[in-house]
Amino acid sequence: MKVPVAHGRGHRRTLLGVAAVFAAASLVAAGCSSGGSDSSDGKVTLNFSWWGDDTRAKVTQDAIDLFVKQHPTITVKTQYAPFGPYGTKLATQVSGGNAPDLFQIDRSYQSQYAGEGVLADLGKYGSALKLDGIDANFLASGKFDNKQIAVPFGQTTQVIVVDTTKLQQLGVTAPQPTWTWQDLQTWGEQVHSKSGGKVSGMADPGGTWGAFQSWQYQHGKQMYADGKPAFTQADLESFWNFTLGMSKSGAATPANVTATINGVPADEPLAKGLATAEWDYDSVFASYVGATKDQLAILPLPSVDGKTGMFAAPSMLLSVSSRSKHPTEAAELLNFLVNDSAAAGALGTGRGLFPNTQVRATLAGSATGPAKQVYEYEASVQSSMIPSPPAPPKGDSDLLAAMTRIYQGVTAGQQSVSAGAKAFMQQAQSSITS
Amino acid sequence: MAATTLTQVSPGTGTAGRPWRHRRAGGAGMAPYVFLVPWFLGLAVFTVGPLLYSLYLSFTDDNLLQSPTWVGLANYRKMFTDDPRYLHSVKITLIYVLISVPLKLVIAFLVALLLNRPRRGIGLYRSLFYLPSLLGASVAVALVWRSMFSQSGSVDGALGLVGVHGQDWINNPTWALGTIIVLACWQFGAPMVIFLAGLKQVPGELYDAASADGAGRWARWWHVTLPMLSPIIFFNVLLETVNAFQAFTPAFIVSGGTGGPADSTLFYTLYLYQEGFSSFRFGYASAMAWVLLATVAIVTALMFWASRAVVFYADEGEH
Repeated sequence: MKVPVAHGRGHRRTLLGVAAVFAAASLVAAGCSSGGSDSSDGKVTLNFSWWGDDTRAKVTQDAIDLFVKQHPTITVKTQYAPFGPYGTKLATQVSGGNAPDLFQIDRSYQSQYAGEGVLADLGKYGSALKLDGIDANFLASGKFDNKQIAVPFGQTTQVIVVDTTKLQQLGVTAPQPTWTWQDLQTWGEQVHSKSGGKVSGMADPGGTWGAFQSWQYQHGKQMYADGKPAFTQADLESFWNFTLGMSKSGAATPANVTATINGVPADEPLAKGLATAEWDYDSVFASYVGATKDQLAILPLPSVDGKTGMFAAPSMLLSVSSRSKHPTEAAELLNFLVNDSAAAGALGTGRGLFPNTQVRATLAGSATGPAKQVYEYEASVQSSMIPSPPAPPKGDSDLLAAMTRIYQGVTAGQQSVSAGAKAFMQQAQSSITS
Repeated sequence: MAATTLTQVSPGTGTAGRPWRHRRAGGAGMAPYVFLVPWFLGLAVFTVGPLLYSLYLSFTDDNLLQSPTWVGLANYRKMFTDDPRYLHSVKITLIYVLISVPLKLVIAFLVALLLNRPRRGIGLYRSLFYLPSLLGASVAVALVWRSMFSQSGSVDGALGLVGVHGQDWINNPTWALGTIIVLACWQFGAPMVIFLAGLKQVPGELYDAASADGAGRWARWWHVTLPMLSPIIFFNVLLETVNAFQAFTPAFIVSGGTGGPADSTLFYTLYLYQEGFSSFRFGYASAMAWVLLATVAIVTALMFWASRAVVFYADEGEH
């Protein structure tokens, strides 16, 4: 290690200063990168990007192989990443003019992309992309300004996942599908006391944006109206007062456990044996099953005056880039992925139920394991679901994170429920309008 | 700077008997620059270019998707008037800098003093103490930290042995930042090695002279070691401060990228990252980066200014 002790002092100081400033400057220069591909001779190369894990990668590749076999002139290059990095990568590619031809898009940011005009209007491809096999109301979740800019790539619904093995061990009866929030509270306290305080009834849903959404719908209220928040501070307070009460009584997880909830089933309190129930979507039920040896069941959400507030949500959507050089071929691939029974067979239920309802019905009969549970559950709750709400306005994805962050402060006792709700409303105002 | 060094050096090291050397001796001319061209290109394309572009972006509402529109100082105004999370991240970062830097340096210095004594196997000890820094601010260490300090982690278990009530350090907003500060302190190796090198360079005769004048251990330390070491201390303080302002990896990993729980580990750079790469407010994130750059530059300048009063350079007599 060379450390100058007896050199010219002025020189050394300048050097240090320059080094220090450059060290700081390197942070400013967060760069951009991009990649793309093109085609010549009669062949067409499509880029297809999506998010997911290795299990999903395998089934997706299987489906694509089937497509390529049917379309020998088309080559499909795929890229995938986990949800978070995927969003960053996609935005970078789109901004650099290298958007993939076909890509998965999330409900929470589809409005933003559509607003910038980077998503092609999918209504104009005629027979290359047939959308009449998908439930019209569900299909509408991919609309923006009355244009079909995305097609749902899987249907999912809100659920409470329950660990029945653990309940048996504790000697607590599993809740009835017709339960209310009050039932949930009583049941959760029972789990807590029977386990000697070691296990909570449920992972606290207070920081889960989707849980608040369905709470709103259960109370006959809306999330957004005219692109602005329709929920109020009072709505949020009533939700948080209830969940905080559950947490304090042991019916739901304590603050430090709630803080670990990150949306990855294998890391959640249920998989760790700290809670016997979780709020989630049925498209990830299989991942919960994979994360524990226990027997799991699915229940509808607790209701308010008989209303569960549940709806068919797109687990993800597919969009074609408006700048794609091969939009027709991209539309054909999209068509294959949402309508073709061979694709459905390859894809399974790893993205939720298959979009084409006819194909879905055929598959439901032959499903096994967790997929069978999901199909049966979906069939049992179909009649009680509300119409799918339209895609949220741009900025909604910010609120998903804000909900978790602010509720963590509330459960840790750093902020009162009303102060937290107020802070959330401020965040909502700035995120949704800007 | 590089050019000056080269011209100064070349006459001295000029190998006699090589005519081409003499022909060019007068003006090394463009040659050094030609060799530096790849580096200059890299600098321009990968550092200066993006740097200036981000300066431009900081005055726009760039969101990656649309072409940016000029918004003047709006981003800078928003930071200080309309963004409580920004101010919160500034607070968290300042706490981190003000606590972790002195603590880490004191530990590094004390360990350096210990390792400066001649004893058997000292080389081994030095390597062992430096080891944590080789792992550096790596993702793996942060992950290990995360599991050590979470509920039923090893820290919790160890404290349980001495009867301290179990605590989920990572997931408690009161303690989460503390665990990251401890992580920073644990990585004291780099400044420690520099301190050690500095201690070894203090001329022994100074101590002998001081002893002859009747100085005790404490007086020798205060009047000889500390002044002779002051440039090294300054160097370490400066470097660690600049680094601490930019700390990112530990907070990102320990909090899973959220800065949580409840924003308790929302470092400046982490918030910058979130605004840029999660919310796609690149204009705003760029403005934040430039404010950080300016802050670090000012802090550095202030430290140089303050150092005039407290840093002693051994060559001062020569001027």
